[in-house]
Amino acid sequence: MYLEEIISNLSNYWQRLGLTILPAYDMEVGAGTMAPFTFFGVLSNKDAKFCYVQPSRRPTDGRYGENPNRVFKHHQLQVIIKPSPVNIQDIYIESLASIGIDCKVHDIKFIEDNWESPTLGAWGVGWEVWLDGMEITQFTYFQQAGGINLLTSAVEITYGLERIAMYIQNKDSVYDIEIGKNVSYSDLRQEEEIEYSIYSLEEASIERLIALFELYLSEGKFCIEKGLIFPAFDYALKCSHTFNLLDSRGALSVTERARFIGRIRELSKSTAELFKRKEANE
Amino acid sequence: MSKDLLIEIGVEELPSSYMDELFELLSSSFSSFLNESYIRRDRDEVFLTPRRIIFMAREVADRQEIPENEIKGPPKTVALSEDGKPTQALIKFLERCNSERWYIKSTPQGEYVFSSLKQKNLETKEIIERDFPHFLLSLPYSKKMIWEEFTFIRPIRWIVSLLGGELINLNICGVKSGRTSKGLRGYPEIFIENASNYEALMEKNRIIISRSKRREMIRENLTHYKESILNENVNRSEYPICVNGKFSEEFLALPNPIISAVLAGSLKCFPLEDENKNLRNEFILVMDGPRDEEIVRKGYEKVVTARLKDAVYFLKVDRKKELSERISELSNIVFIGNLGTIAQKVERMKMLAPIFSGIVDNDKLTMAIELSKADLTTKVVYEFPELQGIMGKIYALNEGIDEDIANSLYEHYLPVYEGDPIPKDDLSRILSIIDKTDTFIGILSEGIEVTGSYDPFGLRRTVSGLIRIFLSTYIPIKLNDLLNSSIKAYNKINSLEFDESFFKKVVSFLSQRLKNILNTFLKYDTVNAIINEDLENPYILKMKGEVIEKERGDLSFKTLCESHTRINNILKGAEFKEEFKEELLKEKFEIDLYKTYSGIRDAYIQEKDFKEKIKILYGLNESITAFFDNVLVITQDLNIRNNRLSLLKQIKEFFCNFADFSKIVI
Repeated sequence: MYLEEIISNLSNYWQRLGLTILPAYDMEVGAGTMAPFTFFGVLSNKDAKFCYVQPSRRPTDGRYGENPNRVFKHHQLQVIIKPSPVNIQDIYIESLASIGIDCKVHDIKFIEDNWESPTLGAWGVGWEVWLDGMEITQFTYFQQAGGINLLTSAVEITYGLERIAMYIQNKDSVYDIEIGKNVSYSDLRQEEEIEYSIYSLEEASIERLIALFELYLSEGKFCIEKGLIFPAFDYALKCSHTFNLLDSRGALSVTERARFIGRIRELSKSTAELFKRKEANE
Repeated sequence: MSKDLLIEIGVEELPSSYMDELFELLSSSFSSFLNESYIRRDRDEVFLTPRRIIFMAREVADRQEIPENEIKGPPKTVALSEDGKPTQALIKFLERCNSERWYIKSTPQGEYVFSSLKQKNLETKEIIERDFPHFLLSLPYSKKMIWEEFTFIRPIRWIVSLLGGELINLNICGVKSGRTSKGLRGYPEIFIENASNYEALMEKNRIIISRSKRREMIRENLTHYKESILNENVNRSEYPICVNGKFSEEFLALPNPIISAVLAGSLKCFPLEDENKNLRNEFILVMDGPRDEEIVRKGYEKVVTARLKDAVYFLKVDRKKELSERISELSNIVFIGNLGTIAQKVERMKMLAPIFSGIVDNDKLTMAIELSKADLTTKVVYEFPELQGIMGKIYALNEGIDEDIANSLYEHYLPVYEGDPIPKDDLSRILSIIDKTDTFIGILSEGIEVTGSYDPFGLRRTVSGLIRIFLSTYIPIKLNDLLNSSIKAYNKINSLEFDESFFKKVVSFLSQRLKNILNTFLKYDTVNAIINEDLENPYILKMKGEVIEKERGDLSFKTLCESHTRINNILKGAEFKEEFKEELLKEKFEIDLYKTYSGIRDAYIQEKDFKEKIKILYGLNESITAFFDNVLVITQDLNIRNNRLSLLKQIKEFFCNFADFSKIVI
């Protein structure tokens, strides 16, 4: 099964269950959770039912296209449902059947693994799902977002697409994954990985990145003052990615790191609070 | 007719790390719940699997059995009028008891009216339906979450509750009880007809509800194992099946601890050893339920191989940089809370080194301190934190660093748990003492109050380890010096300010732990006798304690204890000005006492062996007894009285150099 089929099979499965398939969010994010569909989806009083593939960038994981498991950019298939269906575990297990994984022959375990995003002021309780010892999915019930306690918990299911493809296609390296017919992961991604690794681990200008961080943060705060939630959140994302780059350059001491995270969290929190205020007035 | 009670709460996977604590909590609470509900049963049990919390009670009575409660009413004189008629007070009392019966009983306070409170005995089914949901949801779980709008440990997805064959209607967190339980993933549902054959039926469906049975299923496949990994697997499976896996022999070139860490780490596989205790390229994994063994084995082998490959890479990268080059990077690693970085910790530790000069080579100690945390910056330790120290030693030996120093990089973490060995040589022991003292003072300065279950940084463990090292060998330093230097180091390196009360807190915490540990091998009164407000070196305390235990049956020892008590008693009530003049000694027996005392004092101080020291003290027994038999201490002459009391006080203080013998219970 090609990676493209894994994506379409899973998407079709969730679409049939009534989820809306969305395009990926068009900004750099560290995880699918950071897309506004999820962040505001879990905060909102309304129901949420979305599914999307989100490319996620983790500058510190860049390995110059050499490591078989770790990459600067990987892809998550993200499912967010609120309120969570009572049989959500069964529904999830069933989704694996759509990509040829039969729970009767495999050892599937739900291992405690709680999730936290300090920059979003968000955390959840959940599991990583193991398929014969390999983590293929993060399964989370949101407890808090933007520092706000959630009264109705959303469930988030994040499939690690590269991992799953490697497993299904029996590949030892991410670069051997077949994305589609005659298109391999290395064809499409290896050069990109090498350059991003050089950039984020060696070349990125610390000075300019710090300046950018400050600019993004001010612009974000400015958006809050103007009551513009979504643009403000975009700048929180920009801050977060810039921070990740600085981190991968080893530019931040421990205390500085904590301070940067704290400042992004403040912006995320303001955004979340503004969102809730607006919603209450509607 | 008595029946079995079954309540199975089906949940999404419980955290395996929480199962032991949860089991304790539920077992004791469920018993109390049944007791407080007056539900008689033969026995009650709780079972846990990752997906089930199971409450069982055998041979349960149909109805509760509330004992009649005798209730004391007003005094007879109030309850009855003079002509023996019930007063308003009695009538009110009977109303309260829901009873018409009353009788008079005499009590130490006089005659009183009594009645018995009658309550209706409800059916067991009714009680469970009424009270169980609240009982289950109100326990103090330390792990909880919200889903939909409910709160519990993890989401509740099904409930089976039966009393015998009868359904008990429960509704907990939006889930209604029924008779259908879930099987293993991919296996059919299980219909439960009667509570009494539940366990057997589940077993037939390959769900082993008993943790000890699951444990045995895994253990019988192992020749040796780590308890924590076994336990974790018991808590991760409902029907554990052991499967053998393999990895390529080339990875055996990795240091054994790394291979074990990869296997045991998050995967919780069991490494296998050959006859010489070297690792083989094989392991045992535990899968949950009958699955396709070949597929599962291949999956695990793939994960293990990928991680071993990572480890090879990390090791290669780590070896490009020597430990000494890593010291400066420690400023990027936070120690604990607000206590700065590991680099600062190392700086503080260096400040404690001079205390031990003369015991170990100071240059060696300083180098060991500097390198002690350097491996925290390596990739291997970053990936496998449990290898801290172990990797330090491996890298140090590889770099050709002095073997004693290399060993100390690992040994100084010991002992972590009770039963762990003590570091083998002086250098490691002292490095460990310095490290643990710094951690102890730091955590305490954070103001964390350690309670029964709350000890986030393992303060008790740290301090116990510290004491156990001091107990193992005589390390001739003063504990006060060590603690004060550590406090000064925090002040200098982290600019923390401390007041007087902090030092008291330090001493009291340490004394309490010390007392607990001494109590494990000495009688409690021995411990009370040897411990005093001054922090003495634990090794000295141990020696004193052991001598006392040995001497306890001896007549001289008993006399010594009595003498000490007699002196205490006479000093207790007396107010006097302490001033002793030899020329004021008048009577023979007080002169005798003084002479004996001055005669042995120097010998006592010079003697180093506590077995001999106590014998020297026995030398005073006779004179003290003679003194008390013949000399009147409380005389009219105030000067003489003062003088005699002062002499006794000196002797008492002299005894206390060894112990407060008055605290020994003869």
